[in-house]
Amino acid sequence: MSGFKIDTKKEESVSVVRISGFLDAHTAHELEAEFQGITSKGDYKILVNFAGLDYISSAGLGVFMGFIELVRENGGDIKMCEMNVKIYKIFDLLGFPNLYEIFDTQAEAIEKFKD
Amino acid sequence: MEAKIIQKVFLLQVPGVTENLKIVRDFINEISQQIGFSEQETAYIELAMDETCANVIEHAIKNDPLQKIVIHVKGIEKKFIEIKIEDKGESFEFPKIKTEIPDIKKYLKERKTGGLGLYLISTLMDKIEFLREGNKNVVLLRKNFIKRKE
Repeated sequence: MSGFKIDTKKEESVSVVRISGFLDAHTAHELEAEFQGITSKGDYKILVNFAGLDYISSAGLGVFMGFIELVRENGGDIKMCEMNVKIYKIFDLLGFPNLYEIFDTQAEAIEKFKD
Repeated sequence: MEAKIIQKVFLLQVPGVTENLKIVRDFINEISQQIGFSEQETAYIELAMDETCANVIEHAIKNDPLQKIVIHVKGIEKKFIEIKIEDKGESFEFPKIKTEIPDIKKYLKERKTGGLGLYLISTLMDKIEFLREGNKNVVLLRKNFIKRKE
């Protein structure tokens, strides 16, 4: 048991990646593989739902940084939603909110992809 | 009657693989709470500890389950927590401590993420020190307790 789960579903044209558990140096490669799979299919609209995520370290943050350029170069984006305060504070320490759009609800984020 | 000041001392030894980061985090989380740190401060101490051990596992031990990480923790309630992390892995060049907020956009261009952990540790803790003692790599971390206004 890795303590980290990923569940990806397509909603309209957006790949919604629900992550739960902890995202650290042990589990980050699982998210990396998931993003690899999504982008290799030519899907570049990715929404990560953080509702079930309890913990993130820099190894997890690195995965988002590793894919954002590729995704944006292809007209897509990685957006985020439903992040708990503890995790938002870590993002904030590194200035991530300037780089990624973070929404309170999944519906808002999906709507934003239509712009 | 004067209250006795009791120093709490803890020791954890785990094989140096990333799978054990969770055990390390749970261990430090418990102690941090015992010392009286808030939930948020405890989360920060936990993160700094994780980042340090993840660095040791990657650069010194190279995820070798036969190598150990030894963690000594001492603290005094509502005063401080001090953590000493030792390994007998390869000696690695001690990184320069970065205290400026990293330029994330520049990081993206250079596709590097390595410095983020170190930045987090130095931001979240009051002291971080890297030493080489004999055949051991040693990292020292300290966080002081700050009394909150009621």
